[in-house]
Amino acid sequence: MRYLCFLLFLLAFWQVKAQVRIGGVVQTAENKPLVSVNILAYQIEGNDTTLTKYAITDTQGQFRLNLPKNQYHLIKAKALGYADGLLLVLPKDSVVFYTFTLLPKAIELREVVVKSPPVKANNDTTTFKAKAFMDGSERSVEDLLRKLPGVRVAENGKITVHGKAVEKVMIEGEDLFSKNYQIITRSLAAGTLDKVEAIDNYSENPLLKGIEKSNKIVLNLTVRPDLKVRPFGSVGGDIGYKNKYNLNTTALTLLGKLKGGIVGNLNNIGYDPIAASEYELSADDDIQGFSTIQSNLLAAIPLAMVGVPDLEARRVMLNNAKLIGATATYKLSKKLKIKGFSYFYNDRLQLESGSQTQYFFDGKTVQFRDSSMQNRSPKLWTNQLKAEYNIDAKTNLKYTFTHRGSEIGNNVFFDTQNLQLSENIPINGQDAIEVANHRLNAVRRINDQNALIVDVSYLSSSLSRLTSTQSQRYSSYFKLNKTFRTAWQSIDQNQQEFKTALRWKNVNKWGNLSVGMGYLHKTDHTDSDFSVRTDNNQIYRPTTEFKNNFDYQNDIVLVDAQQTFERGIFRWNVGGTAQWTNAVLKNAIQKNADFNISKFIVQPSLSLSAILGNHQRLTALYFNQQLLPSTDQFTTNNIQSGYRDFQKNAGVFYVSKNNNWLLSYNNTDWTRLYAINVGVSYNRSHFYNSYEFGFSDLLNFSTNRPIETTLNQVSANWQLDRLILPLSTKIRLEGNIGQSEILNRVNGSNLLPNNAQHLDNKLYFISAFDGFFNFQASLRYSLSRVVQRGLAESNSQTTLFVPNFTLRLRPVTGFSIKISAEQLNWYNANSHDFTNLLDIDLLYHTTDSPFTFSMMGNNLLDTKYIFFTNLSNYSNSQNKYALQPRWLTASISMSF
Amino acid sequence: MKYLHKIPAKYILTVLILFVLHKSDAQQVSGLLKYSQITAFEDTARRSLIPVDMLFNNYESMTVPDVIRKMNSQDSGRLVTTVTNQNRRFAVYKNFITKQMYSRERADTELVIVKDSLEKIDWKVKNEFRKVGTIQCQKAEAMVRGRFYTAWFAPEIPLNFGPWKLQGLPGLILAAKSTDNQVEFRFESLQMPVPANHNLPPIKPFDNVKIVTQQEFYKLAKSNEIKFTKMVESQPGNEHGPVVFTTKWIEIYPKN
Repeated sequence: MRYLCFLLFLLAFWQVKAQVRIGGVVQTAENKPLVSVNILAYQIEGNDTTLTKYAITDTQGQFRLNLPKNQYHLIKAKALGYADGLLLVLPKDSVVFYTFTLLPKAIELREVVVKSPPVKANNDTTTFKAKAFMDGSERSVEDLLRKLPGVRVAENGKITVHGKAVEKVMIEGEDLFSKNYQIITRSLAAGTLDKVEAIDNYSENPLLKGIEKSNKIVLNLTVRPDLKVRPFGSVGGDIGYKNKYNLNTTALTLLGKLKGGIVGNLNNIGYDPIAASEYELSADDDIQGFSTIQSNLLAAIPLAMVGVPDLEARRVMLNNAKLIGATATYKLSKKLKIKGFSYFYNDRLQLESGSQTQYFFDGKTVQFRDSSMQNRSPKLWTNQLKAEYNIDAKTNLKYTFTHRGSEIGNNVFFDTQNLQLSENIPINGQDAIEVANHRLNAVRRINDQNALIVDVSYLSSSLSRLTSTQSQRYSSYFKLNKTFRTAWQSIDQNQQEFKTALRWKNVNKWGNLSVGMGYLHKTDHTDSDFSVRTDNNQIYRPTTEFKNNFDYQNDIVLVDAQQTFERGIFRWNVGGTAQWTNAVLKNAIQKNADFNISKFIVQPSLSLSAILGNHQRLTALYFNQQLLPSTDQFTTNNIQSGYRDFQKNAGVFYVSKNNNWLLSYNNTDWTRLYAINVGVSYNRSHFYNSYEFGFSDLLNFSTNRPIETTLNQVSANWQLDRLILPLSTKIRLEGNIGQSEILNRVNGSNLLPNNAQHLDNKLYFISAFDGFFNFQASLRYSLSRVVQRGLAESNSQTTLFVPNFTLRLRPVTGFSIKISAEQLNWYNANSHDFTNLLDIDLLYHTTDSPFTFSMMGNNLLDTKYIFFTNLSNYSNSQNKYALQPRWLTASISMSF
Repeated sequence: MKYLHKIPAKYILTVLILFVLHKSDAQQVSGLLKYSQITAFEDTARRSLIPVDMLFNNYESMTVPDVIRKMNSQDSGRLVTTVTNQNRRFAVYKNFITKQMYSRERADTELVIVKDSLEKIDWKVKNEFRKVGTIQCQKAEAMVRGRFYTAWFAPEIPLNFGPWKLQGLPGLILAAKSTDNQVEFRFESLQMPVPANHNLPPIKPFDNVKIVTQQEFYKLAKSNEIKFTKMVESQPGNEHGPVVFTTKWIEIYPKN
């Protein structure tokens, strides 16, 4: 009965479903059962077939299927290595049993690749797939680069890959902005990229490939395929409280023969695409062999004045920045290509400070109020035109014309008031530099092992500096209203430099050989004029006038050779430079300063490096030692103008299991439990300086007494990383200790030592949860001591204590919050100052949408920078430096 | 050898053929499926990507993380947690003849081999098609070990394997994604057959390790989780009170 019920039930079930059970076996021609054969039942309706049921054969080769009744079905038996078995069935009431006999068939070759992995390393090129590293929080290319393994982006936008500084960033193989690549990496939206390639051992010239061990690394950005057929870019803007605005536009085209783009940025929020202090005035790539000669002194002079090396200086400094740049490459013919770029940057910096001082004289109080306002407005521009001509497959010719200029206006206004007297001192300064450089470069590849390079360049530069002041003094008490002091300083300097070099590059069984010879001719004409006229007043010096006018000429003939020896993991670099130099100075006013010196200098060099693994596997160990022994260079003591600066440098670096080869900036990744980075360096330099042009409102001096300065520096730095599991928090301790000694001898006096010691430690806690939640807390403790002897003697000790806390949250995809708070505490024996900073950033951006929304607020706390001094019983002063006021902006940007 | 000639030639031949067949059949790798295992358990923005190789012959498959590709992608600087350690060392071996599956799993602190049978997954085959790479694939949906997956299988490749523990469709599963977006197996490449001179590891079950059943494993995982939580709670400096650590993995373990 039981069985009957069961059978009835089954029958009823079949009736309801109207299904017929079919079964079968799949076997080979030798009657052997086939295991794991796929049985696919396709229902046939008109011309359509639909897969409705499937089964897989068991170890006996059997299968079962339930198919709808009275429906035509095509049953396929498929097995790898066998031809398909086919059967057309029309299931009826009864259970049907089928046998498939499958015949062998050659296995069809299949090779399908859908996508490449996110990181691919191939010889010198490491390719990163952009999309794999994006999570929606990145705005610009720079944000994306920060996420790539082994890539590091510094605060100023400079990129390093595997510890090596990136020379340039190209787009689709085109170098658009040369060394100022931040213009593009900070403007271009991350979503436009397809791939990022890091190319190591990059050869500027394709003809030198394989011969040159350039040790240069460049980045090449590949854009999404759909953007190659149309212009693309982004446009965006900010509006905000406290007159904060920003307008940012980037447009690029990679169509056909013409490639290029424009970048524009109007900025008042501190998000500057190019930091003024990082502006590069040096030539693209100096002629090889001449890099050892510091010939272009001009570029460094006035730009150093732009940056203020102070905590969060940009908060005070960057008020208004404008940048506009354009770049284009045009392929005229197969052999000729023309390239050019141009950009202009203008910034306006404003610094305000005020102080109030009370003096106590014999029980009486005299109050002084000082205020100063400083305005600086650097203007910087660069134009470059390049023509490349490939004469034949083995020879090419390149002409480059670079024109750079800068103007820096510097206006300071001091206002001093006391009860009886008020005075104001305006100082107006204007510096202008212009540099033009023509360069012709020819490369001939002789064969696989040899190549010849010829370089000719002509550089002319001019510097003019003008500073003036006319101080006024008023007093109603003394019935005084007069100009009491007029001062004037002007410098005009013109330099010309002609360089030519011939170089032979060779690959041999040991490594690479490079032999070169060159000639340099340099002239310099300087006119300077300095005068101070003061009203006869006891406080100030009487009238001073000083004029100088000199011609300087320098000829250098240079021969150098470098050979590398590669043995396993070690690479030796042996070489040296021999140069004959002749320097002549003719002074029109002070004849005793004239000189004429000829000197022969030999500089051997030796370095050893060992690399464990290779860069593709992220280098494990790096060891480098470089020793440049000094030979006497201009030892004559009577050199009045000119300088001697020579460095001895030795270092040993050990970085454990790390992807970064740098000493101090060690980027340890999260997969390591700890990493240690210890370095010791010793520096010694010695130079003479005779004419010191000092200019300030209170103290001015001009001296033609030679000042001989020796600088001895020794410092050690460390970095210790440790990952604490299971909380996945990294502890990092970094710091350095150092001592420096400056020995001055003025006009043959006794040596006056100035000593400085410092100890700096920074402890970080960084959590690893960087997707949803990430925090970073750090504490900096710094101690420094300075002892000065000489004109101004002082002995001071300062302590710096800076806690910082940064929190990043990404609660949902595309939405991120960053909160950062910092407090600076600065103490010394007489003063204490502190400042609080709070920044909050909100960002909404998903990878799919072209729009980005963000809100930023900086200096949200009351951030008055208060400097309190209590020097002695006699004075009590309080200074206030106004930070840029707190501000809030909302922005939207769209990429197209 | 004296009596050798007495043995009928056909037996010798059969033995020889069997021997040859046995040799050629043993651990032969006939295909290589490369895919990316993308998981995002807490938040879809924080994804972990592991390149995986699935080696297979007609009846067996072995799924292991791709060591070489891993070298390139592991150091993306994102995160290292116990979860990723688990990711890195996971492996699955499936055998369609014995109908058994062995997987290397981590019960928080312990690494064990879990023995399980190849269950029948109730796949719903849909009449939707898509090309994965250049291969025409059909859609199928099913609940597998705690998550609902949409899988794309290739009826043209009559093998029943798939990424991770997915299996049992009438065609090789090339790609799959869970509907909660937390797990994705993204197809990268397929090579069939693999050239004879490959240096891929052989397909074989694990040896010399502790083998537990699936039920034992669930118990072990649970007890280890409790142990680990207690360890964290008792660490000095824990001011948060009780801590709850739940291991998040592709497979969602039963609650009890």
